[in-house]
Amino acid sequence: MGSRSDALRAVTRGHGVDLLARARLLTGDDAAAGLLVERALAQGTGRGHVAESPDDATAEVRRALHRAFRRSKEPEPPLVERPAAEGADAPGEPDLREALRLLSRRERVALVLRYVDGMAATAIAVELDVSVKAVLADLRSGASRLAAERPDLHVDVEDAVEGGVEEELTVAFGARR
Amino acid sequence: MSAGLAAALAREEQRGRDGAEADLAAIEERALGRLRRGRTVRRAWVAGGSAAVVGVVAVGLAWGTEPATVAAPGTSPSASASPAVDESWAPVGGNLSAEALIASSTPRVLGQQPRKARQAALLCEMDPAINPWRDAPSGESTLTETKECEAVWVGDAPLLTNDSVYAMLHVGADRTGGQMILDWVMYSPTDNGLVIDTAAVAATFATEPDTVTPPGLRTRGAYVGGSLWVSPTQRLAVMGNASDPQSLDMGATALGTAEIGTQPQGSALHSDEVWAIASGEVEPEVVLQVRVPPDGAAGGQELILEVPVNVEVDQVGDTAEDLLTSWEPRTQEDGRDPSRQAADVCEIAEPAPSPRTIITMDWVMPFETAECEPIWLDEPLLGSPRYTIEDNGDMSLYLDWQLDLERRAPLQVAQSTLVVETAPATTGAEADQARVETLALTSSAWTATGTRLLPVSGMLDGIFVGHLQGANGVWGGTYVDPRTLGDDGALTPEEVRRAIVKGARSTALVAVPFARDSSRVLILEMPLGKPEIRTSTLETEG
Repeated sequence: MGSRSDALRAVTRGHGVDLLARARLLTGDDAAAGLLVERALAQGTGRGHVAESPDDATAEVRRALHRAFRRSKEPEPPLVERPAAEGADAPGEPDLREALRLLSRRERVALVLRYVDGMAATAIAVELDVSVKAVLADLRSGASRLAAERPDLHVDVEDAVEGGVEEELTVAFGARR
Repeated sequence: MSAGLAAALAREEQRGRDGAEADLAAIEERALGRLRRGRTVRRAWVAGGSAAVVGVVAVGLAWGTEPATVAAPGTSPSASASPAVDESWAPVGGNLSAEALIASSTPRVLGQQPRKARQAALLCEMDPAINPWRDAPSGESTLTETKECEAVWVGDAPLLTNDSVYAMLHVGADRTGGQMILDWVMYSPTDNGLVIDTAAVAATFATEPDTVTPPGLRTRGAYVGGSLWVSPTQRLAVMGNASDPQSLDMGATALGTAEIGTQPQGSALHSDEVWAIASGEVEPEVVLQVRVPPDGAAGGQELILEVPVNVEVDQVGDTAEDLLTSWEPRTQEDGRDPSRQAADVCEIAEPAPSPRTIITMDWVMPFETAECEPIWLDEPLLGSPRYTIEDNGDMSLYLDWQLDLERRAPLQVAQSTLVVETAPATTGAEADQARVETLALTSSAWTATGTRLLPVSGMLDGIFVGHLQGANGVWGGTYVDPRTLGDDGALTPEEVRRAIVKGARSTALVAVPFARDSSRVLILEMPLGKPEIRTSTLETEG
């Protein structure tokens, strides 16, 4: 890959929808998600060595997104109420965004990586560049809070802490698309 | 299992894909804008070889340093790895507080390296009552003292390495004395939560780094001597009395300058070590000492990281005073004269607040419109202009220009700017100008009173000034995207494109700072001619 601009475009065009969907899941807000992706694209393709392949560039941007979200100290915008037609899938199901907002950013991103990407704590620690101990603490506290607030989700705290795939590379970003 | 949670998260993320495609074009364009501002800087550094040219330097390094653009003359220590080091230390994992790093410390001995790379540091035992950082204010230190501290290794890997620092050392010596100027920027390669004290970073220069020597010269947050080792296990730490803890996460970049002078031999104010470096006889080992503040108040222990710096050494550049030894007034009627250098002496109305110690990723270099007195300098200083425009359709324009310095002696230059005049034979006013970052679009930069209104960088010292070596190049660039930059919503890429296509005159401006007068700057002007317009692949890619 010859240039950082090309890398940025390749990531946006190949995985931009996945990145934005992930950012919306984490932030619960379209504008905040757009800004998070914008920064992650620039940071992931602009820092360090030029990525050798689109996949490498995508991985860097994805890491930048998750790390930036985890470390952000900016106040979170209020949730925008959804039209009824865009609401919960199941009738009567509460808005998941409200439950996620009960979690700290650290807990939220750890649980998203754990349950959307299926990663284990060790792989999450690599993705976020933090200690496994910190990830385990975030998974436990986040899962406990969700279990208490949303019993309908059947959150298993021990499964949150101990489960998942340890090899980071086996997780394909956007595979659920 | 937590299947309910997994399914709910998957549904929520899937919902986030709705309408995402429509938002991506704008996100991509804004991200490219951020990225290009970084590229601007890296290319500025390398235009014309290894000479640093101008700069939004710190911004560029906040985005990362390309190995290809940074010369890395090895300053590897002569000592080889030794098995004699005790490695029974406790790893600190992700905790990079001063307390945790101190808890992980093990002795560091002159000439020995650990089996696994770790962070070099100094551990200083202090009397809490006289710790100079106790209740220290932010701002500049008014004290420079040295203290003998234990040399240690900390952490389970290097935190700040020579890849984290970009530095230029400029030296010069003549019969009046010697001078050395180190400009540096430092960032953390990863968002690891490291907090440093940006008011307590000292530059050290050692001419015999792998020996034990008597103490050398300490001055203004810097130290110059044979070595910092005072015994095989102790080194000198440079201390001040100001404190400003800052995180290096999220692309934040610390920056600083150390300037040291010496009188010629025979003077009471002569330093052999400074003279040896300033005259180019010796290339010193440069180490930045970086205090990691404790979580609480300054107390009985201080931790100072030692960060090796690979420096490029160049000659100190001349300043505006050196060019203004002979000049005469210039008027609008003079037209062009290739045998002389068109220039301007500009008053800086209100110097921009200068980020002295740290800038964040979102920082943008300030520019202002200055009123300038046009003059002629006797000899042409700039030549060989190259001018290209990358046309991204309605989205953005990217203009860049390059010039060569046509003199042997090095010259100090700040960020280059560009003025585009649609009717240069008329006169204009500041209200006629629209400006986006380094670019000003106007009917005419000439005013009715015979002065010139020109865009000038607000950063005219320290790391923002390059010492352009003779026959090297000056580079400038500007990215026109009002949605991203927002300097002036009225200036669109289409306006700039239309003006240039219709024959507007583009003139590159190169700012040369004064050494002793921050209220003025000398601007060198160079007409660019017609640009080469390239249509971006952005329009043609799927």
